[in-house]
Amino acid sequence: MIVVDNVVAGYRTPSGIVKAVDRVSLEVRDGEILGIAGESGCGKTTLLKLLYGNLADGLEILSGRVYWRDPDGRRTIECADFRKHWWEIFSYVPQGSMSALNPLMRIAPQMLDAGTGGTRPDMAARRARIAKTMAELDLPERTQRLYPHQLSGGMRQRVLIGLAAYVDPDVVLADEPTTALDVVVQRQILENLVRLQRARQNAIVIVSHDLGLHAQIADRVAVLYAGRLAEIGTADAVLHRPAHPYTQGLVDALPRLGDKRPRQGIDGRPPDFMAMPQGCRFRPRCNRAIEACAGVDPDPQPHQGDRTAACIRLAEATA
Amino acid sequence: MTQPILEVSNLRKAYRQGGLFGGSAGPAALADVSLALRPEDGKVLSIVGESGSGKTTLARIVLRLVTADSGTVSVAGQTIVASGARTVDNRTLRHLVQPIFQNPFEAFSLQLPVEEYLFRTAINLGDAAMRSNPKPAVEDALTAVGLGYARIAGKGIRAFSGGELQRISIARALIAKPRLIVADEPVSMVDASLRMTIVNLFKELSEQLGVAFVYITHDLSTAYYLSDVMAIMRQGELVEFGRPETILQSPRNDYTKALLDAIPTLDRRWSIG
Repeated sequence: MIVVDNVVAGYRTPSGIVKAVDRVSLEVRDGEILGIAGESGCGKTTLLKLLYGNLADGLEILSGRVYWRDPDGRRTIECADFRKHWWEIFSYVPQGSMSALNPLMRIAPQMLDAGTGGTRPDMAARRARIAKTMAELDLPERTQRLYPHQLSGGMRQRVLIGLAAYVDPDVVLADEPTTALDVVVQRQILENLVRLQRARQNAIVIVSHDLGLHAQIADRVAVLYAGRLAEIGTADAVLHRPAHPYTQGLVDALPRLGDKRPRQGIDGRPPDFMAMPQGCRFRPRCNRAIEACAGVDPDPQPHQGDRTAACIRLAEATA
Repeated sequence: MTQPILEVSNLRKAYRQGGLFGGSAGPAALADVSLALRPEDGKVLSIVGESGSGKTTLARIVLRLVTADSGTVSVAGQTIVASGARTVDNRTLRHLVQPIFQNPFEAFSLQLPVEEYLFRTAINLGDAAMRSNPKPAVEDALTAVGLGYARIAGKGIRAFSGGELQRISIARALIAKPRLIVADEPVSMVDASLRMTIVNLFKELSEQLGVAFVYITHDLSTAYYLSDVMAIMRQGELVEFGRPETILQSPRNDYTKALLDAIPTLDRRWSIG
């Protein structure tokens, strides 16, 4: 599992440090699908970079610790060393399938190349695993001989998932993997992803702003707001009985098929990281805010046994 | 019978593909599409479909950004395209129909303050009074979308969130007092938390100002929520057309059923075997 322990991480800029992830603690458990939700600019992608150990573009851990631990707890790897274990333990499914694949190479050599790190692995075994994974992803055999531009967006995204999965990593990290796709294709790809995960028993962390997507495939859901963890718990609890007013707002903003009753979005937008409000960061947009909320930036507290949430008015949340 | 707000008849379009000297006609982006939005049916028509279904081509033909191969389009009784050719001048057209695009960050220049777009629209499309004093029209349009002039004065796009910019796009479209606004995926770039705010604004504007909307989207749930009439397109053809409630309860086409099943909602979880 990956453990994030009270981590503050961010980017140094000329006008100061942007703490895109602030005092966040959570774990990615072995074999689970963890969904990360929140609006744009809430720290979702930064958190994913930490889980992948991709400390690039000026991202640094300012305090706290991110590490991976094997199931029997004998071996640990620190975040800064995750990179050495990319493909072996961690793999990543990026969002833009067109820019992630080499346009001048056919699919098969790109897949064979992945994560070899200069070593000369058993190519025949790799080929066999690629063929098996492609079949599991419902990709025709000839896909391997095609160039990226000859594939549809859905097929390319499946190739990226195949690329991340065939090496059999412990954790697959996916950043909005189906955002650019149509719902019918999205459903097929998410089903492929879940089937692969069940067959291989690895963990998946999936970042998406779409709560409906998390409701379909996630075991647990974490909701981020302004760099802080607002709520984390089982998908059922978080999405059907939200404790945090922000989660409640996101759930209320989702239109439902067959229901034309008026629905409202959440007014305003997430705060600027350089100008955080005093006290609870959600307070200016919160419909449950009271005076005391201005005095405290709450840490997540256990709530009803199945999740933790960061709100001082949890006791009054919907039961 | 009342005059339709939008009527599209036998519209065909195939984009040319390949070849250095014009190439050949590709597959039909629109294959003989006819539909109408009549006042008695309501004010909002949604056109739903996947990429490549022809929904954007249809929108662009109605906005006359793309020329049809054949077919007729009329808005509020005025024919704007007949046999694929233009039948009214651009000024008349812009009073009938106005666009809202998908990505508000690309709809405005980085170099210009956004108010410039509103003032230019007022000056280009307004009557004599509006041309000599465009400010009241700009202010009215901004008020209609819930923004004040002071909020946008002198500011470029960087000062706004996607949701705010999309509101400004809507205000710009309203200045021309069009009969119809064609919005192509207007909320797909906007955060889920703000989507309903924009969608509700369409509803409000159609009820209060009487302007009709064509809402192009791949998102069936917002289409269902917003629209009075819904069209579902696939591969250039209209596969379903009717009231959203009817389509949801008894979809006639297999594709519509697949589309309905694929929507990730909170109310059900797919059984993945």
